[in-house]
Amino acid sequence: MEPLVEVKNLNVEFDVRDGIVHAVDGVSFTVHRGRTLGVIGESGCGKSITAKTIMQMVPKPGEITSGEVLFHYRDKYDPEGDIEVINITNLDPDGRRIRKIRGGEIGMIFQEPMSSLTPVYTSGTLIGEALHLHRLVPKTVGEEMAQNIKEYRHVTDEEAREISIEMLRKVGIPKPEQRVDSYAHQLSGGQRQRVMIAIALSCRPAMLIADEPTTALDVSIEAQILDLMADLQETVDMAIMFITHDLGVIAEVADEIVVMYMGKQVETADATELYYNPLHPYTRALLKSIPQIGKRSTQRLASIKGMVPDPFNLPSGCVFHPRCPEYMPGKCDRIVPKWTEVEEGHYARCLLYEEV
Amino acid sequence: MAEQNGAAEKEQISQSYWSLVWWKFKKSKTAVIGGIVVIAFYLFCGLLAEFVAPYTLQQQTEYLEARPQPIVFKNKEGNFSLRPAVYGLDEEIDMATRKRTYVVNKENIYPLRLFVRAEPYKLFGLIPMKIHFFGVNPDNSDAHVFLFGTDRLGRDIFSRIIYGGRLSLLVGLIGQALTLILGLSLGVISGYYGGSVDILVQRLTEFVTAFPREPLFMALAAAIPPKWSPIAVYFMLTLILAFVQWGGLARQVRSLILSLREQEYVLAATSFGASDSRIMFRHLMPGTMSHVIVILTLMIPSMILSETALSWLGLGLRPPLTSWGVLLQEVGSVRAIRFAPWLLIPVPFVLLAILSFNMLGDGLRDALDPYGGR
Amino acid sequence: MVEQRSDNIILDVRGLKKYFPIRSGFFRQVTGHVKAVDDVSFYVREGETLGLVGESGCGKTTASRTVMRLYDPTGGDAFFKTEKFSASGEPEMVNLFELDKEQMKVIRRDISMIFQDPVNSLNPRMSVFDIVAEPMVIHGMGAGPETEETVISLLERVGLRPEHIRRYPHEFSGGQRQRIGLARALSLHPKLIFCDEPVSALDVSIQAQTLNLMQDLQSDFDLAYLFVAHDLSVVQHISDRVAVMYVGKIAEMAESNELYNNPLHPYTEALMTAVPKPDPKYQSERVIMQGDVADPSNPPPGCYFHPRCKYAKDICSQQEPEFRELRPDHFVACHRAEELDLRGV
Repeated sequence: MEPLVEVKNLNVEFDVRDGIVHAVDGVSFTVHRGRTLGVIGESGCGKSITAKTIMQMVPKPGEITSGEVLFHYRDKYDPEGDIEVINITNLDPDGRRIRKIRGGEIGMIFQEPMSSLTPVYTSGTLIGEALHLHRLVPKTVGEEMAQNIKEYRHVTDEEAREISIEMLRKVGIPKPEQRVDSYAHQLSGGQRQRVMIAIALSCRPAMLIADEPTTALDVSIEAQILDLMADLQETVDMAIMFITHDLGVIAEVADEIVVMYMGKQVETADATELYYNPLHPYTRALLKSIPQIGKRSTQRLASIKGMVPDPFNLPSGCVFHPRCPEYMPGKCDRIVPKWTEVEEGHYARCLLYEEV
Repeated sequence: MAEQNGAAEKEQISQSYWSLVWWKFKKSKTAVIGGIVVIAFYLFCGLLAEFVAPYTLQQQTEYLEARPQPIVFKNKEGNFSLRPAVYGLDEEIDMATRKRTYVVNKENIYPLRLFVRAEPYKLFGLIPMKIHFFGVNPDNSDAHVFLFGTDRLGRDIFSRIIYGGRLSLLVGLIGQALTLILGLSLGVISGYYGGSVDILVQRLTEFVTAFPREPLFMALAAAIPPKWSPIAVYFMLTLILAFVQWGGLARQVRSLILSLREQEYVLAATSFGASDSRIMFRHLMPGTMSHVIVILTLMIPSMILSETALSWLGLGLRPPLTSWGVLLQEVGSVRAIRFAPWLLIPVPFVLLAILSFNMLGDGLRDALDPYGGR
Repeated sequence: MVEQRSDNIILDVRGLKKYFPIRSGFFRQVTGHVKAVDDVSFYVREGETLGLVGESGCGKTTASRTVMRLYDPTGGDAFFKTEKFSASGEPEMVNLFELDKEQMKVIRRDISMIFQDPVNSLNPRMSVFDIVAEPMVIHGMGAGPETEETVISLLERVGLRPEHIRRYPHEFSGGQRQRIGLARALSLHPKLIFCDEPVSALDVSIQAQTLNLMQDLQSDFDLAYLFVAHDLSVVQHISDRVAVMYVGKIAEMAESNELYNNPLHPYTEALMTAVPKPDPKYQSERVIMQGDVADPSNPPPGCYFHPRCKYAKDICSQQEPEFRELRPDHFVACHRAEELDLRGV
């Protein structure tokens, strides 16, 4: 497995009126080429901020206080070329370099497909815009020479339209020749999300960040989109970072899973390992608290007691201790747990697995 | 009106919401200044005019069209003193124009005093008092203070501006109260019921707002019978102003109600059997209050201006009632501007009042909207 | 479903229709109808939960609101068991659609609602006390100091603290707001609660708490729930019986385990296999439905589902299937229900 994005000990803080919120607190993970990393957590756990940090798009007044995001850049038009490691956190958020990476190397799709498509442009214009920015085509000097010269130019308007139609066909939109001239309001929710995917994939990014891409969709459409993403990933060899709160969706798509709670990474493991051998009490509780289809029992759900704490007033020690079923008094409320590799490739942040 | 509404709402709405509004409001310097000036106007002109003004409204002196007296910091002996004083005025006949003028007599220095006894009045119309905020030595019958000069009848302009402000500013308040009643209730009803009621109210507001404003004012004001007492004319005038204004408020309230009535809490109330009036007045109207306060605050200046304009044209208030418009009516000739330019001093007061209202309204809008409690 | 069902049924809805007119043109004349709910029949027994599932726009919310008379019904009947209007004091079935406004207000004590959006369903300008006490005030039962005691006991029952009574909705988290909504719904001691997506806006860990609370309340107060939701696993967990809706019609209705294990309608099968399972080892053999949900203002002929149905035959596009009781208590609207062998979960 070849690393594509390495996030190392990332910290993001928000300085707001009521105090400082540690939105992302010491998060580390690696996204591998062609694989899917799932990030799961409840609302406000910092999963979306983490994704935005990878794109160097931390919303104001947030600030990356420490840590690095290493992007292993390889020119996609030169597959034999060397890999250059770029530390994204050092790039100017408005600079040329990061704008090349956003969209060109890392694509992103969002939860709400209605508001993420500009309503005054057709889907063709929107895909074309991305193509003009990031897509290069070989200069046609002669069929054989083109392979040797390796010179590229930007696409023309006609080419952009052709590629747009091709992309819409690829994401499964019926009658793409007509749909390329449709506006967002003329498309259904599922189709909008397909157009979003088409925009994101049109520039052949090395990684796709999908932030709750199916949450706003119906089950039948969700199934279609998940299938589509799996198919596309196979054909274009792209890494996916899949952010969601739905434990069912993540089980289906992810190879590796990061569990987050209150800005902290509580557990990371291979997907099967995480579901069959969860180590952190939060992960365990989460898995027990969801009703499973087809397994109806008269029993109550195992719920996590209490509420998500106030981000300005986090509990001492382990942030999960007031809700934890395995709370050890005198330990969990005093000692901040460390990021520990409990089993091979299976990390957790819990005092149960530390010698204290 | 704005302050009253704010206070009334404060009781029923979460402290934390209003503390957030207050926090946001305080951040805007212009809004705070505007608010302070507005409050000062209502306090000094509206409530305490008799106390603030050194002379009463109709009190005539023998100084006719006297120029403003400059303020100096000298004592009676002509030496520097921290206590401000004014020079006396001597009458002179300009032989060329055959006109009476006043020249400053630097020999007579009248130090200004605080809380002097002068003409008796009734504070708030109830408490008999003689103390005025400032003035000159009441025992010296020659002493006088005309900060902004006097008019043709020898009346102190400063005092008259203070008194005139009362009526001018009150037009805004009373008029807005009427606008509020008409605009809010019709807006809520129109937005909530929709259908034919809505169409009726909408056409009515369009009908009213479609008139060109100033000619309508003039026509309506000219229709007031001349025999009416000045007080009746005054109330009629505010009624006319409110009648022209309410359409705008009704429309804005209607569109707010249209979005608010889609909220699930309205559905919830309906599902428990709440009556239409309960939904309108308990659930929908409080949601519009913050916007209404802003709209009303921003509408007051146009009311004050309309009153001023109408009175200046002679169609509004008539003496002995005194408003800023009435004061300005006296400067209706080139002669007055040529020989007694100090008669124009009410203009900056009108400007200041209107500017402050706008600054306050803008600040309130930013602080109240978008609704911070969500 | 024609004969009067008498066995402890509290709500019996028959042939419910709700069409919304589509207006266009200068004179806003009616040019068509959105058939949001079209000939829907279901019933709820006392103390049980009927789940109403379907994709967005299938009319499940409209159906519950129309029964509640929040919308004017276009057609059909809704019988509700109540003793409020009977001379003998014995409960009898009353048709809600034939009641006038005052009579309906009396019924509203017995049926209450909770809503999806915990932000929008509570008036942000009313305190918790005002919100919870409002139904009592409306029905003239909210006078005197005992109201406050009642509100406090309701709050405690749903897991909130007495000091919350003076706070405002925005000071609470989503789960707590949903609890306030529950306290309000319980304030008139209803027999039936319409729950419109009550947990879909909540976080996973809060969802479980809320569902448990709702089950506790159901057994304590002997409540019946009409549970409208799109999440099939949540519906299965809480419901005794489930009705599946598709484009304004009920496709299938059965006892919960029966429906999930032996579905008779292809839509039910496709819907259930589409749900992602929280198990990475599970190899999904899902039936992918092609295309989008049919447009309720212009539905396809015959069975509305036939363009997406992989079992569709000629008859499906020509004739509308009848909603029939194929097995005891298992209703389905499919021409081929007898012959198909469908997979459950």
